[in-house]
Amino acid sequence: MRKTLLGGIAAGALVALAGIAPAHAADDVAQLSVLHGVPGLTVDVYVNNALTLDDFAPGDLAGPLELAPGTYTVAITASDAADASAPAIGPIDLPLEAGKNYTAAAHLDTAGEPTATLFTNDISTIGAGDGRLTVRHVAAAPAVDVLAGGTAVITNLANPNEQMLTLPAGTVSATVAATGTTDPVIGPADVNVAEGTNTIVYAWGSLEDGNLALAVQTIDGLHSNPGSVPAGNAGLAATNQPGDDAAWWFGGGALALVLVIGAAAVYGTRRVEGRH
Amino acid sequence: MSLFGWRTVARSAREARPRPGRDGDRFAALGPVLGGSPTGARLVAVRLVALRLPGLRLLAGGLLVGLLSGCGAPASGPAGTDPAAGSGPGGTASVTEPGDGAAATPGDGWSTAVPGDRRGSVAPGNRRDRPTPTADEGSATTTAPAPAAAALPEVPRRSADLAGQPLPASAPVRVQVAALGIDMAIEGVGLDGDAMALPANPAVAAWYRYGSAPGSPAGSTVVAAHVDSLIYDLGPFAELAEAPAGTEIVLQTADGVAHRYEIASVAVVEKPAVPWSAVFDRSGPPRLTLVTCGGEFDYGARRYLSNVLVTAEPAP
Repeated sequence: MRKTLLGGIAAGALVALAGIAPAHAADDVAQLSVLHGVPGLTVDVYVNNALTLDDFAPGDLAGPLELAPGTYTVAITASDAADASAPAIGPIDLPLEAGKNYTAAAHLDTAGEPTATLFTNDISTIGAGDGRLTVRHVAAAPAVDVLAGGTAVITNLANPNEQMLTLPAGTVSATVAATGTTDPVIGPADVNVAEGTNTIVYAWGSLEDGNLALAVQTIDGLHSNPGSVPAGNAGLAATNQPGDDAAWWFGGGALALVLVIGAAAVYGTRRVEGRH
Repeated sequence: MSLFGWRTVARSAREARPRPGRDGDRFAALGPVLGGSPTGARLVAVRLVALRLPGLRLLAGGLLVGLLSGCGAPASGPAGTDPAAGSGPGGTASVTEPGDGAAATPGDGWSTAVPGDRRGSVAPGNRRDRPTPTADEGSATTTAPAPAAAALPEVPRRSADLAGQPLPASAPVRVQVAALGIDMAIEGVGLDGDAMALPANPAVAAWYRYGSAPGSPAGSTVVAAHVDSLIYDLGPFAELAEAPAGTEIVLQTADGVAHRYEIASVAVVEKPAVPWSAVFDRSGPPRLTLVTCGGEFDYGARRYLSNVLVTAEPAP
């Protein structure tokens, strides 16, 4: 009883010190990141006709922005443009829902023309010890395979699609090759598949121009925790040592013995004294 | 008259006077409390003797520490659990931080009363999507859905180049608690099934390598060790259950930095009640949690019924 109460107090103290609140998705807003995957073009990004990103360079990732759910019109212009009236990409409508996590990628399509794609990022919980790897093909190149340590783990991935894997956390040596081949067109490159994290790798650029590259975005906080820490099985630090109970028996036995002797002495003496 | 001339117990008791420093003194003092019964006084004496045994003293000490730590926690409790300050992920538009789009500093979570402010305490792009206050101001706090363009919002930006990814924080390699005689090496560990893996030797500690490290900007660094083992006997972490608040702990990391902490609380919590999500929390103020087993032992199943959780904060 008392121990459970103390356990409760202590657990409460631990939680209070941590200050934790239930964490994961922000349920009433949408989160949006923007990837600039068009080589050689510094741009301005307008969201609903308002300038949001100025002089956004290729290979950069912006965000995350928290936005109220709704549909947003995005236009991407050259960086010296006065407004969004003559965009290089768009305008495109992005429908954003509450509690979800998105990346809008400006990239080249298979033919090499600038375009934009809205991806929804998987932010579901990942088992403890694992990481999530998302690979997105946003390059001007044909379909590809992704090899990890020489073995194809993703096959026939085409622009502008994605595939996901759940892997044990660790570093993966990744290579991108034309589908059905093993000759690397990108890599090999070390990709850290972090535990409890969605590691999103983009293959971007142009095969023809020879500037294919990998870009990476990470979303963490998706982890699970161990369920226990079993840290002892010998009982040497136990608060209920077997000797503790024995002490009570010894004490009680000693007390009983004392009482018996004392009683015998008292009655014995009285009987003797009574005779005199 | 005496029986055969010997002094009987009864005669001695009649003639006994309280002497300083003897058990008789204790009986006399307790007599009035127990209604003047010498039997009752002897019972209390037995209990006082039993308290000299280490097991019960450990229990009493643990209960006392647990009680004191529970009483001491409220000083930090309100700061950590204040939801009204809007530190939760959804609280952007409704947060009581008027017009701080330019004034709020990313990483300034410490200056508010909300250590759990994830927005302020993380590097952009390296944590779960939690924007800085400035980003929220520009896009969400004015009339939805069209963001006002009066000032260009500061949206965090970084290169997405693979080679430019931030390096993980340096791993702890040694834990030292001078006051308790603890000086142990630390191994980075993951999972053993559903549980945190631990080295078999109680003299070697383990750090949960998927969680926070001492140099991380947020979260609990978890270091655990066996309290004992059938092969290796009692381990150094057995001393933790009685550690007083304020005891200094030093973690040495692989990069040669010594991180100092002070114990804030020691809790012995029954295993089903342990808040593992708080122990392994990767958000909130940077802190250290030491974990081992303790409390009562189930001799049939050969397992402890409780975990000992020591929470320590970075030393000022």
